[in-house]
Amino acid sequence: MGDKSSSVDADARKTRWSLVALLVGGVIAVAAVVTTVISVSGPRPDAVLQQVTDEVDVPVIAMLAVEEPQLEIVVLSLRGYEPYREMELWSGVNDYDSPCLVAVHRETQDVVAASCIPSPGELYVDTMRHGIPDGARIRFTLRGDEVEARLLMPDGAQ
Amino acid sequence: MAGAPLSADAENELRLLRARAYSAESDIQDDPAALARLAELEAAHAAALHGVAEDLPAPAPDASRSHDPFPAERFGVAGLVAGFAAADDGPHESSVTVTGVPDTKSARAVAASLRDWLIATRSRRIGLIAGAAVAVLVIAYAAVWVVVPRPDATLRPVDALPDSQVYRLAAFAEVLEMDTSTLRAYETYRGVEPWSTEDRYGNPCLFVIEPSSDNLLGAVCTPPGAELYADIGAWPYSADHFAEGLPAGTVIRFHLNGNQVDAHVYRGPEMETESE
Repeated sequence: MGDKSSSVDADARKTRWSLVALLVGGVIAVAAVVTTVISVSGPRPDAVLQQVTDEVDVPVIAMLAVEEPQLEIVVLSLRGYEPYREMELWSGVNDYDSPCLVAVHRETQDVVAASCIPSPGELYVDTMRHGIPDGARIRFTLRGDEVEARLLMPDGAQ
Repeated sequence: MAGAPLSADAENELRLLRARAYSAESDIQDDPAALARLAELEAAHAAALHGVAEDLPAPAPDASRSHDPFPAERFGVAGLVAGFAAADDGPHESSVTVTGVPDTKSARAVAASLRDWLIATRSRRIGLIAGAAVAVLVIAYAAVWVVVPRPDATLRPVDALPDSQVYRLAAFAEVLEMDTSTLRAYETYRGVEPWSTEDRYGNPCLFVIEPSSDNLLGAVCTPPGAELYADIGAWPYSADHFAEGLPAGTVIRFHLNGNQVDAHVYRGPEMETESE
């Protein structure tokens, strides 16, 4: 009877620990699923714009100095991205170490939109007109080394 | 080390006594001799089946719970019953441990007893599943709470009517073509007043004014499908009052979130000396 009782003790311990492991695994799985869904949720972008240059671009610097001096963007931090529908995107940082995103219309030498926001604020700019329908916007969002572009139509129309 | 199987007579007697004990019209409580005999037979039956003393007695026997088909419960009840009987009759020849938790088997007994108790009846199984579902929801809610940033302030709608200052300041954003006939007001934050409306294309709009400095701080209209934010910055040398006490470079993001406006403060770097 001694042998049998020690082996059933071991069984009970194994059962209990495997239940605990199952419970812990379940908690982790649920939390992982939820956080993943949140972080990737959102509509897919219409375009993903890659970085193309980090060389100084004098016209862009001049535009920023004239139109958005209060942002205090650090000129040497500016990086240029592929264009999208008449818009040229540039990213950089300002004197407060905030990431910045700028959309310029080179043809008219105009800063269409510019924004700097301290982390962890999501960095984006919206542009209007310049080749898109009235009431529509393009939302450019900086994600890591890329800029995502999404065309937003009024009233959800596609 | 299995015990000898019960004789056919003993099995019959056990069946009859069980019927008396576990039926809805149980009368066995008034018959201590029958109780004692039932305990003996149950113990012998258990020994014959399992060869070891049976589990911990279950919680106090409930005569009304008689339609439970789960045998372990009965052995538990028998254990308790045997305990009552043994207390009256002195030393008892039985392989059931009548005083409660057997020392050498406490770990197994607790685990098995809990498991059996939890799944014993249908209502408990349903309760177990419901409890697991609640636990999943709590975990999911906690994960969301951790991942999604909480606002510094939640500004609810208020019943304020726009005055002439609001209309005049809103006009500075005429490029947005906002419909100023349907303005909605919200609680203020740091002296900043949020207002919401729509533009002529049906896009929701949010604009923020600072009445004390007579300033339109920001105005935005965004089509559905993207979050509607109006950002204002604490830049040095600006005349805005909301920036008082905030480090330069701070951005306050107002977010039209359903029926409320959330305010998120993204602070600039702290400086050693406060800039004027």
